[in-house]
Amino acid sequence: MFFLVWRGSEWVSTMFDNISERLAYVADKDGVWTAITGMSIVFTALILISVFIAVLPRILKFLAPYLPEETSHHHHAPAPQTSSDDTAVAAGIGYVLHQMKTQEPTKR
Amino acid sequence: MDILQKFFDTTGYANLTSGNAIMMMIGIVFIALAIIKDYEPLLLVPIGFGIVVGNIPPVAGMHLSVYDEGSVLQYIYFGVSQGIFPPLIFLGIGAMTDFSTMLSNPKLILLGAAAQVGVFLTFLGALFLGFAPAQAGAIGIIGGADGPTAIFLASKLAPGLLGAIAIAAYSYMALVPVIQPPIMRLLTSRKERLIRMAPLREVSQREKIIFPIVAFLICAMIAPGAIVLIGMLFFGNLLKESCVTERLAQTARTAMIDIVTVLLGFSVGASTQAQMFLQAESLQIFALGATAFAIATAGGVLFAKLMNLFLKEKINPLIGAAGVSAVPDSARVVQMVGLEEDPDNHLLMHAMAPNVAGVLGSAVAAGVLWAVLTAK
Repeated sequence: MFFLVWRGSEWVSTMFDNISERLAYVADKDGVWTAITGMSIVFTALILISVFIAVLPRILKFLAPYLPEETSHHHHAPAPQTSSDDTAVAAGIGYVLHQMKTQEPTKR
Repeated sequence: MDILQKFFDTTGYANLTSGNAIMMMIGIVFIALAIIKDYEPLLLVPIGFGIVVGNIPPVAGMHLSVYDEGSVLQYIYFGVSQGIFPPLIFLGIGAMTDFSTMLSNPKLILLGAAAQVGVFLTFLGALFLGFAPAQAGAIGIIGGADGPTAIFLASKLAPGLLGAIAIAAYSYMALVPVIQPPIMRLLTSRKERLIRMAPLREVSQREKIIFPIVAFLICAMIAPGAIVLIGMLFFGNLLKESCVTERLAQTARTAMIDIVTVLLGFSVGASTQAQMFLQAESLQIFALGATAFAIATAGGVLFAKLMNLFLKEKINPLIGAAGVSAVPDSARVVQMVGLEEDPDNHLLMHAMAPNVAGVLGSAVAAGVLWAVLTAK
């Protein structure tokens, strides 16, 4: 444990000794500009998707008279299957209710 | 006697190093966490056992390990090293993802974008520590909290660090319920955590069908490097939502993704041989990975608070933490933290919007980093 702490503190002090060199390295490799450009592109892509989604209902409403909803072989995607946890919970509830009912005093 | 001695020299007992033993213990810890604590068992069991297998000491002249030409493990690892398995996993993820929560409240997509700040700040941190730009990009994507994306980008930019990056990414994904809540509580007030959000609107089937096609075109044209991951994600989603390819969607989200997960997890684990893995670099990657997750969580929460300055209908800032694309764990964490304050405030479905948006954001970020850093 002492060895790990000692090596860790050595590593941290080495890091801080070379801060200006490390910052120069980051600048030399265009790190900041790469990060800014990358975030900008991610935001641009997701903003465009967000705008498209916001506008989509209006587009579909506009197109509705020309492209009515089909009622042929398409059906809604199947409901998500319940997990085995949901089934187990339902079974547990059923068991408790059954126990409660069988323990109630019978009415005469 | 000579024959016995020769045989003994080829056994694992004769060649076992302390590094191999340590890695095997790590593998067993992963398996124990998965089975006892139920931490991401579908990932940690294959990875943990793969670590144990991969650290049986190699025998000279026998092609056994992931790094030996012609070995079985190398053939399985081919899908990882060449970036084949991650897109197939994304196909399955697309076939099981419901984007309707995102479609019903599109402004929440921006929280998924904001959480990617973890990727790029970690990229800067890795550069600061002296990693080459391509390596720093592969390390930074851990902040996207997306295992397949991390493996895909590492296979393209820094194949030598793939094992450490994959183990870090999946380990921290399993620890999302531990890492995120303290940060979420620190950055939000009780009043903010009690915000109730408006019910989600109904989304038509047509919207769900058109969305994957147009969203793919938008993302792929902006970041062509993301074509494979985003393309498979949206292809899988279209298989699901079109309602005419249910058989294919069912196969993609069940048998196919399970097969690929087993092969990917096992071979990634087997690649973490002590001789390659137990380096100072790996410890730095683990430290950067934890930082990436923390920054991504903070980024999403803080951006939600920023959005609230301009919105009439406020967002509960807790859901910003779900921009970390560990689907659906980070959304579940948001639900859990929200319920602690108000047992009737169910944030899960609202949190799924930034959660799935985070998958898109991390894939776009990976595409950008691959495109920009390949030439460097």
